[in-house]
Amino acid sequence: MFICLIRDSLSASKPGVLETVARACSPRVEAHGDDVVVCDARGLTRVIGAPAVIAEEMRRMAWERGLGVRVAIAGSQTAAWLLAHVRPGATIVPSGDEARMLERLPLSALIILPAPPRPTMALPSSKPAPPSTQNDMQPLRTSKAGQSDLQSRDVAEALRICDRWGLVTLGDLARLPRADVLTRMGPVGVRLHQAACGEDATPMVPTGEAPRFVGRMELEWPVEGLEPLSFVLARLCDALSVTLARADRGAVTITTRLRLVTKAMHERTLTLPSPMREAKTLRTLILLDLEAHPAPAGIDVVEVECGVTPGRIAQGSLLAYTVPTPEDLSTLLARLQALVGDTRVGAPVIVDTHNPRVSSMKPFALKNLESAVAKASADKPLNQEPRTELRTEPRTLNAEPRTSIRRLRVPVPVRVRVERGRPVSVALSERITLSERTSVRESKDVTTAAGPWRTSGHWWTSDAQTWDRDEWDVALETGVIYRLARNRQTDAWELEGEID
Amino acid sequence: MYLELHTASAFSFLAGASLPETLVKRAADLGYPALALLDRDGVYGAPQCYRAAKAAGLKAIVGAELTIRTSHSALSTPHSAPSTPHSALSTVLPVLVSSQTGYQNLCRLITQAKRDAPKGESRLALEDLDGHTNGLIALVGRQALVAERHGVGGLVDKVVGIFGRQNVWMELQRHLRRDEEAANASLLDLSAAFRVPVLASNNVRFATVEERPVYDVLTCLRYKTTLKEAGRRLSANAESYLKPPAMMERMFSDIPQALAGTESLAERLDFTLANLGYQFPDYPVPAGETQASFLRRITMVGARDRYHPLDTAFDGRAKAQIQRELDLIDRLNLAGYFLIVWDLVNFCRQQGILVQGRGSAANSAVCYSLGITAVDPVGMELLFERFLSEERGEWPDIDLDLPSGDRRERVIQYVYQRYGALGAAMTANVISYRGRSAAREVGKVLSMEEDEIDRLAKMMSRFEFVDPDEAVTKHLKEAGLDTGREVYGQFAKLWTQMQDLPRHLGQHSGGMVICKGRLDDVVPLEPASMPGRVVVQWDKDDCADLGIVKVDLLGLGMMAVLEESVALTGVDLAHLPPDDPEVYAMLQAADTVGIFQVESRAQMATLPRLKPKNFYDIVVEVALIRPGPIVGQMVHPYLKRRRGDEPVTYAHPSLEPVLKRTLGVPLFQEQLLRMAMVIAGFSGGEAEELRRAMGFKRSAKRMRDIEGRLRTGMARNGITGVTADQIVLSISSFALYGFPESHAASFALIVYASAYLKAHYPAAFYTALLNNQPMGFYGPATLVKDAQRRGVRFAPVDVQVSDWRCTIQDDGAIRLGLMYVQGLRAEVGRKMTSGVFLAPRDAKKTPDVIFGGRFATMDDLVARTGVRRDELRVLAEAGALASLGGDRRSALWQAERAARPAGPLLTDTELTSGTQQKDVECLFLQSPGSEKDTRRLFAASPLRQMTLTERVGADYAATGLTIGPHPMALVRRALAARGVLRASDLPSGRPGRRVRVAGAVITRQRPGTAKGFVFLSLEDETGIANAILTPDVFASHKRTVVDAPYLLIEGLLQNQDGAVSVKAERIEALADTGPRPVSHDFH
Repeated sequence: MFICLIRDSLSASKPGVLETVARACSPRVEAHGDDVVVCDARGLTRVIGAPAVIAEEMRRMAWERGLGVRVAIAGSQTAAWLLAHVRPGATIVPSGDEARMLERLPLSALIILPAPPRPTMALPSSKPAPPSTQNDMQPLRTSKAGQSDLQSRDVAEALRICDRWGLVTLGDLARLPRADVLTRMGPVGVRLHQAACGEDATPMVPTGEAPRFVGRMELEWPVEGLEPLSFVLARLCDALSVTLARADRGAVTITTRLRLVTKAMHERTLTLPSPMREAKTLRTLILLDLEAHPAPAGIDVVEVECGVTPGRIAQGSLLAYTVPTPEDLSTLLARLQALVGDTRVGAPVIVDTHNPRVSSMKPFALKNLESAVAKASADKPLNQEPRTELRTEPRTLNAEPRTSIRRLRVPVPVRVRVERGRPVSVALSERITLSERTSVRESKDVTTAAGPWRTSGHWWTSDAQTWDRDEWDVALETGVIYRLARNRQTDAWELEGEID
Repeated sequence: MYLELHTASAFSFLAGASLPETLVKRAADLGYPALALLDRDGVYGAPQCYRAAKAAGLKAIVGAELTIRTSHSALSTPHSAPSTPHSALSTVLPVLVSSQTGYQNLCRLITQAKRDAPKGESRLALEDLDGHTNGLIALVGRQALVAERHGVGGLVDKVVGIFGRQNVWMELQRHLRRDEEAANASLLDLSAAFRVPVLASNNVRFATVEERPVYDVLTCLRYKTTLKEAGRRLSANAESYLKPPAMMERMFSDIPQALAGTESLAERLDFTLANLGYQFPDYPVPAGETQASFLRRITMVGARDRYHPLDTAFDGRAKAQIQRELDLIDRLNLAGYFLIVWDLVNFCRQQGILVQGRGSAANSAVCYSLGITAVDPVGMELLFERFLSEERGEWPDIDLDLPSGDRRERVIQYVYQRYGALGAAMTANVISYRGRSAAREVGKVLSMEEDEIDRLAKMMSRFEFVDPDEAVTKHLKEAGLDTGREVYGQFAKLWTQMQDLPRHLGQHSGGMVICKGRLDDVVPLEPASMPGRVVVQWDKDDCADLGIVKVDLLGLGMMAVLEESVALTGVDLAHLPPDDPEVYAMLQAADTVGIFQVESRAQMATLPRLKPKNFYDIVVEVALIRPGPIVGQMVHPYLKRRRGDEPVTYAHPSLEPVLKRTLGVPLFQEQLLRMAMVIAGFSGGEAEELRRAMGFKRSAKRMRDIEGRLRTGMARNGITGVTADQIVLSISSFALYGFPESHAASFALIVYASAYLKAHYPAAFYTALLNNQPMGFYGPATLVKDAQRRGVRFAPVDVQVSDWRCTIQDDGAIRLGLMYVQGLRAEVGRKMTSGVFLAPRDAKKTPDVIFGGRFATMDDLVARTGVRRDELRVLAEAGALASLGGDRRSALWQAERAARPAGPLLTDTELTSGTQQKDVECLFLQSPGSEKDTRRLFAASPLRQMTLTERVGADYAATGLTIGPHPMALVRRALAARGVLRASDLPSGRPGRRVRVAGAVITRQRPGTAKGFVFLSLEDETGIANAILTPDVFASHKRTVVDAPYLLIEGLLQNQDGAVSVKAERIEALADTGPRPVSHDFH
């Protein structure tokens, strides 16, 4: 006897709740994402009661967790699955009555059949299966979805054939000889036929409960400040590190939950650039983050939880350039972020636009560094230092030596006097410092001006991204060279930066 | 003075945003003396530029941007960025034409570039230019600097070597971009190094700054991206517009030699399209004959056959007319043209291809004598000047109607063969952005959602009629879109700007140009998609404007129908009985589904009121339902006068001889010409000029001039005030949309012939109609139902007996052809029909044979034809496998098995498993024996049979038609309970009574001349009912009317002299009535 539990369409999805409910009743549970769970109900009648009681109990438990569910209990997983999907509330199928209960269901119900398990050629391993977590499931789920798409195409095609044959209900399909269905629709047809008869194609494959990597400590006395907390974190991280190593897992996220004396929770989550489990690094990262985001009150419970993936396999090489270890890099980035802010650490990226003011940064990732170094290793002889070559514009025959601009990321308004369309003097509205030279409020004459260089774009919106500017490069009598910009809509001038 | 020597129009296809006319107008407004148009790899826009420039008093300089293949990637500016995937390996070389030789070289180079590249692309190597640059000037610009494979200045060196130092200019451009200045400095250095002059240009891509957004949209389309994603592919600014000369002079004031270079080069460019060097080919004549004398001889031979006796026919008018025409043809040196058309017609006759000249050629007695046309212009008193006049100095226009399909292709190939692959080509057809296509493209570029784009595309070009008050935003509101959103504002603006911009070049359906010598000296040629075809880069109007003679070889579906009907019946179309009463009875009753020209809803509504009684009435009927008479408000006066409800009057007594035949109402273009000749003293040529001026709506000035002359002429004859206004109105209404009487008469001949066949040989007529789809106004489903109402019987598609096309069986029924099985490949279908027909007697010899059909079993069918599973399914669904035994479901059941050969292993498995039924089946498979066994096999199918409704649905799904009951017949009982009448009930109903009618919508029309009224045709099992929707009713039911396949309409019954319709008040969709019928919309 099997129970299928699915989230009612009126309830919002709540990850893990269905599985929790199922595991509370049965030790053998097969989870299909967050919204469908199948569990083995054999023996439950002795523990909980009649099937109807089991169904009601499960619905109640789910309801208490804020989730409306549909339940079907039948002699086969498939029958339970189909009935739970098409009938609201609780459906109990008397033993042996599966086919009869299914026969009136529309054929379209078969489109929701779960994907069959992936065939595998691997020999059974003597090692116990590694514990899986939510993160472990991620790649598997992707692969399953791909297969499911393929399968759903086959199922859809088979259902179209059924439609041509004038079959309307599962009963219509079930009444056809299975061998004939096989010769006409192949294995998919057989699977559908089995389903229409309420038979299972494969036995249930229970999934293990995902282990959590959590360390928790209740303190006798509240602690304040990072120093006492660091001792607590050291103990938790040491233990976690050992657990992670045993499970061959690396942490990719660290969530630190601090219960405060005010009964409030202070929670921080760090995303790590690559899986790691070194206790010292984990502790340092947590501390640096808490330094930047300190708890507002004393702490009496500390909990650290790691989100994990399989451990990192690193193969050293005599030929490749070494890169910082993920631990070093993460620590460095965390220190920098603590110093200048989260959003101001990363790698600059070229933005595909003519607008010179637009800039962008992406998070600095070890993966990028590794690939860049690998490329440099492949391209350059080993006895040469790696060299970064920048090339942005087409080379022209008499290209002048390049100048560089120190750009003000927030341009500064300036007053510019214009004669015959060209700027002749410039005065800053505020005192700024760009290089060693200090700019002052007094108006300075322009000795040379080049421009206008006109750019405009993003005309399809009227928001701040739209621009229409003329740029001028002007040399002032003081010897300084500025880049100015005039907004052609408002005629306002701004200082873009200084040219070295 | 500065002038622009580098301008690209929208004919650069996605690399320019303004039409040539717009650029020329802007240039004229800015005071430019000349403008050079350099489109990418073509001179597509040159004729339009030339025409507009001539009118504006500018010189149109010709040139092109040539895509040159290099083997190294070239960095590109957004303007010059090539548009093809191969473009990374190419650069662009702009060239200007300085002489006729240069133009010929350019045309040949482009032809070569197109010939050697995939469709839509163009490629030349620099070496290909060598020896073909005489008369061409090369502009070397920034692109040359990035063609790095050639080394520093290497490309310039090569170009100078190929073109010669005196024919190369360094092109400096300034678009206020920082990176251009370094390039300009390099170009200046190179110009000094190679001692070649510099010039200034702006590489114009659009006429005004306001067109920059459209240019960006086109750029996105070129790169298949969106505005959000395009980034630096978009233009950096809007500076590529046509700037005032003074502004350009200011911009280049620091390089005066560039401005001087522009001016001095422009002085050298004195070639325009005025002297193309085109010559029409000579027709080879016997020794001692000239073309004129030969034409005269053969015309007289033909005339003696047409007119008996020639000397006295029509009191000698026939002979005189022929002499007059021949004299004129001689004077205009057009004899060769007539001989070439005569030769084409002779080829058709010799090949048994039905051919008939149409259009104004039917006004010519020479054409009639030569057998080119079938209408006697002398007998019908047609005006020759409409065809040819000395004043116009133009080539005459002779269009030949041919059966569409293979037969027409044979004639086209004959022309290629006769005049050489480079001596003849098809004219182009420029495909422009219109409502639907523009909506799709703009929607995509603005990153709209797919379903949003679908809705917009559907709404933006639903009907021909465009209400002047209907702004784009109104359309958007009707689509249920929030017009307050910024994206819709942009959509509306861009959609409007995109209208009429060229999208790509297609091939005209039948226009061919021929040339003495090489046509690629006159205009570049491109390979067409169809193998064996080449296309010129100009459309037929451009060719005509530039004096290139074209012959239209038009494919007419009805000609193919007539030809096939003749083959089936043996009827001689040349000797049909005149004034056959059955034909006229049919026309008067508007029983005209399938008949040429008079089958449309509007024609059907007029026929019962006109009640044609003779051939000339058909000519009138054909000409009457045209926008000209409708806009000119001639239809109702004519019908009233015909019925005697209104006296026959004339705007002026002098017009009586001209308009007498049409009861004082002008209906034909010839009448317009004669009116001008009679009342204003115009000559024949002047009158034709008047017609053209009135028809050429873009030339307001030309129209005003000629109208002034008309009014002056009328005033001389005392015609002023309201009368003069009325005459001017009728003339202007006809100019563009009226039919020439000769053309109407040519068409009327086909109307009569098709009606005669429908009346007397319906099986053959409908067979031919079904075999030549798509054509006409109605789909095959409607044609079959119409035929059935006339008593024609149909037999279903059957793999055992059906041919690929529809055929007539010995019992007179039409056997549907396999061509109607949707998705069945032609080669498989033909393989089925080529199978040996196994007669029952052979069954004794061949154990496989069961029924005496082509195939013993379904397995046999699969094995011998290679039919795919999906094709087998459709055949089964269509009932085409029924004669193999069993019903459609049984066939479907077997089809799935037959299409998946299981092999002996599984067959054996089946033998030992499953039910008893299955055992029977497998037993049979092991040793197929008798027909009885096969029937048992089908009987073994466990599937239930299809219901009637399912069968009808399967028919539509598999073949698009049914020979069973109409879907409306299946719901008739329920409809009758709701008081819904049948189409056949309406004529007997009392006018003014409120009625309900329902049916499948087979046409939806919103004609431009109907002021927003919408006309629907609803088909049910008894016929077709017409409904008229006022603009208000349409507005309130728009979504239903546009989308629902079956409608129930309630409204007032109208009956105007037998033309019955329902004036709709309430409309509802009939859900789940049946399969979706094919509807012809937007006509």
